[in-house]
Amino acid sequence: MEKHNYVIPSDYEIETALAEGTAGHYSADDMWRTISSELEAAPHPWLLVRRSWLALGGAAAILCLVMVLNWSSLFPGSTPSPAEEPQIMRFAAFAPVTAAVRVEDEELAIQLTAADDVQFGSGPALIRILKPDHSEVERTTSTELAQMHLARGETRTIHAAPAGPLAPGEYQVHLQLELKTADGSQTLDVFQPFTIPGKD
Amino acid sequence: MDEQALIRQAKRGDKQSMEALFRSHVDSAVRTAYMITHNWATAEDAVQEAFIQAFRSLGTFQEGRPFKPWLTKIVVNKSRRIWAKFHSPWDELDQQVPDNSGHNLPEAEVLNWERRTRLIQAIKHLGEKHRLPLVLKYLSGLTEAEIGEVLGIPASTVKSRLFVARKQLAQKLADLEGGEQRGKA
Repeated sequence: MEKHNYVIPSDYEIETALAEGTAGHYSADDMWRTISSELEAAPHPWLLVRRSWLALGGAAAILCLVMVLNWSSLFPGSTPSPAEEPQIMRFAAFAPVTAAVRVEDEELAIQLTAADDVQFGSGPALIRILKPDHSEVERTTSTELAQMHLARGETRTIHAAPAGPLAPGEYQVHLQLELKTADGSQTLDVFQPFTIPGKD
Repeated sequence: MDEQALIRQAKRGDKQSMEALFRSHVDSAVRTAYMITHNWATAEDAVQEAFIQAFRSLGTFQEGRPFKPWLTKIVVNKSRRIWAKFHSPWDELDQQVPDNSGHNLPEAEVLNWERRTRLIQAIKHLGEKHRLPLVLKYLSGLTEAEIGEVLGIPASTVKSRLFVARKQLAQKLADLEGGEQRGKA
């Protein structure tokens, strides 16, 4: 009877088997064309300039919102009448998309929830990871939302993989999303803090 | 032009340098992605997404460091995410053992060829924990330290996973050979 005594495969055998077993068919030219056109669709410089104004505007809007919500404690004699409260609630719920961030296997899973029906544009979503001092740690894009429709209350998770592991600490994710509206398209900025916990 | 010069040019937005970087790494990237996603079409998608992300994040790449482990980490993360989403089975064509009867190879070569065919099947059926270090070492050509960086594990863990992977391969080869012998009997 023939005896088959298999020994641990050599480095050469594994290398050759993998090289032969993964000789697939793909077109580097087609892939480069896709990559090249996606890169050309990157945010234009005017958008980068506008971003600082958007951040300033966003900060002012948050300040206004905090003041409105804390009106009664700031000015005890001027408690809004019950009739005014629904207006405040509508204003607070105005952001059409909210985000929650969690860390999964060194990737950021960003769960977006639609507060209203939203239609995303065809462009890629810009994802920036910022430190508390607003310095940029990482910038990437995602096409996972391109031309997607979310009904009110519906959620969708997109992912961002930082090129390297993020050091433990506080961060903020800045999403720039293109939304389709009846009048054309608008850019929505969403900011959400998250924490990378320290290793025990 | 050397790779670091290409990276410097690509950081300034030079498309030709980006294309040169793409062409020198795409083959290894697609093969690696395929060994994670099990499927050529999704491997291509993962690699395209990875290169787009890499070129857009190139500003954060530290010059002087090797490019391949940095890119491979992005490829691996993209591929893992796609695999987690779709859980595709291995491409059907790849499950078939190719017919070698018309090639008139010498017997020794046929035996080697058959063993390599069984070996790739065995590698494909390793768990990802052991398959991935093997792929990154023998297909991507990364060092154990670089594999550790890509997978976020210490180099000593990479070493032990490679050791276990080779032992499991020997066992799987024995099982596959045993199965074939029983089939012929």
